[in-house]
Amino acid sequence: MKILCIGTDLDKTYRHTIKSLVKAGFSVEKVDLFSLLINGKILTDFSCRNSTLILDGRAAELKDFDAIFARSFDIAAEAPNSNLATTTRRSYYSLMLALRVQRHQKIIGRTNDLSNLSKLFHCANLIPILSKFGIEVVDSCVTNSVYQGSRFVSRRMPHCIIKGASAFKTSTQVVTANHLRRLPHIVRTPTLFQSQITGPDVRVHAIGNATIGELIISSSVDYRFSCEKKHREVSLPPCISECCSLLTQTLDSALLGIDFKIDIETGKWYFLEANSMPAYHGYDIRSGGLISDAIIQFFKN
Amino acid sequence: MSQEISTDLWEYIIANDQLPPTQTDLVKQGWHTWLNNQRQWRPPEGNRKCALLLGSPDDPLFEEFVKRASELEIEVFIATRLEDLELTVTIEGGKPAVQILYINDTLGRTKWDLIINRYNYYLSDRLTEFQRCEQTALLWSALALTASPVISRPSISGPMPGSDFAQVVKSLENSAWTVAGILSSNPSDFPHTFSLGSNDHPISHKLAGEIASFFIIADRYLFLFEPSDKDFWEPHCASLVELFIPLEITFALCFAVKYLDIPRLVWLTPWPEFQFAKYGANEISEVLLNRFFT
Repeated sequence: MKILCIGTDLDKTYRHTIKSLVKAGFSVEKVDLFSLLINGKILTDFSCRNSTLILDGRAAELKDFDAIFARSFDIAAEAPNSNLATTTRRSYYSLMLALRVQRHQKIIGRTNDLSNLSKLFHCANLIPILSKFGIEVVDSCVTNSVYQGSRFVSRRMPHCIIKGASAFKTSTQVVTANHLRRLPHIVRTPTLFQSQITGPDVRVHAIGNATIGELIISSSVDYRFSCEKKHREVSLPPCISECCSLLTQTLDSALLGIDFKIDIETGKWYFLEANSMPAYHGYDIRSGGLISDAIIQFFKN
Repeated sequence: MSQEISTDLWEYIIANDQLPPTQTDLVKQGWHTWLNNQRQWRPPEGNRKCALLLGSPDDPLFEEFVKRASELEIEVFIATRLEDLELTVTIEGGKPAVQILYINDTLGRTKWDLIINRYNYYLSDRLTEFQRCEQTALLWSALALTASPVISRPSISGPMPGSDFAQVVKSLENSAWTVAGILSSNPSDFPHTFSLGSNDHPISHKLAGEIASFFIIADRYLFLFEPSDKDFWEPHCASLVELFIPLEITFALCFAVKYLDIPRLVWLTPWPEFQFAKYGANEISEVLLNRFFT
């Protein structure tokens, strides 16, 4: 089975996946994301829904592969000049578009939902699905208004957290007096405020119909940046598994990393976000390769 | 008094609508806007319709809308930076809500008869990349979720121009339309505008001079510019109008190869750019504004 992999070796999850695919006996052809976006061309023939990647004088037609694994992201922001920024952003859009319209059923790395570029909009759109399964969305507010920010926070202090509104990676912190002093800055830097849910985090990786959960217990509000945390495999309630699988179908995204919080007092599950390009290598290593196995099964079936 | 702000303090502020006298100037500064707004706010007066225009003064199309709107009997509010607006998107009790306020509107209007969105990078060129991401996330959420009519409203598929096109490609799969080509996006106009593609795109060259074009405003307003045989094109246009209804009043601009039996969709955008100049921004902006304000 021949798989086209598009990504960068700087990305740990990409490297990890390539290794597991090779180990599973797949024939893997790698395309370096940076080279493709900077020097390559992506031509899409919409009449037959197929694209050709051209790089270093070589052409690869997507239809010649049995499956595609892509971890692509916009690299334009860090480009050294505006010409390269323009080129790379244009290529990025072309690549995403090529993946979206490709006829392959087995593509990991495409989604029809890019709305997690704004966490809150993402949540708002998924509420109808989540509510069917009794999953709640945390009370949240994203604003550039000092008044609205103050109002939201004041009703929830001291159980309120602050984090970035976009997909830009930020750390989550509990709102303190120091944050409040800097509140006027939100006029130019809008910020997401959220009710704090005290309890463990759960990360679910959904691959097609398979779901793999991990429970994370940490005293820190953002476990990702904490040294003191415990990870545990968790058996997911059927409704959570079902919901996660439905999210992958709804978003046309074969792989999702979905974050939940469980309220320690009430046991309620709260949805935080669904990442269509999750960095899952750490979770996979801890689970003994369950995520990799599910990806391999997805490609094989 | 300690710098630490306790819950008691918040309760005090809510109860008294002011800060305790011992608070620092920094905190006072933080609260200034809130208290000030509360004092200034009065219920909206009169029935005059209002439009909020967000865009850049050096954008001719935006200026055209500003000019046209100013000629109508409506209140026009012009925001040239995101800081001119106070935007809030909340989810409370599982229900999303949006508030869009023009910062200098003493009436504190939150209901707009029309919002025209021509926001692009040029409006935020003094910001860091992080600030730009956060602003885009906020603006985009607010415009996507507001109950007010918006041109152009971001769609579910995200602020990536190509994704709308991809949705359309899929939607057209079983229709009389086929898709002939794609034109690349112009990142400088992120998130809403396409340019007419890279110059080296073979399909662009091939189609040059062989295309028809028309504008659709998705609530069934249609501007058909070419070709002249309307009888042939209109049924196809109608199907496209149906397609775009979920996008509310987003513009769509389509090109089709004239000489083929099957219409071919080449390109669409919520904001047809240079075509406006070619085909008459006057007519389109006038019809569009009349749609909302007469």
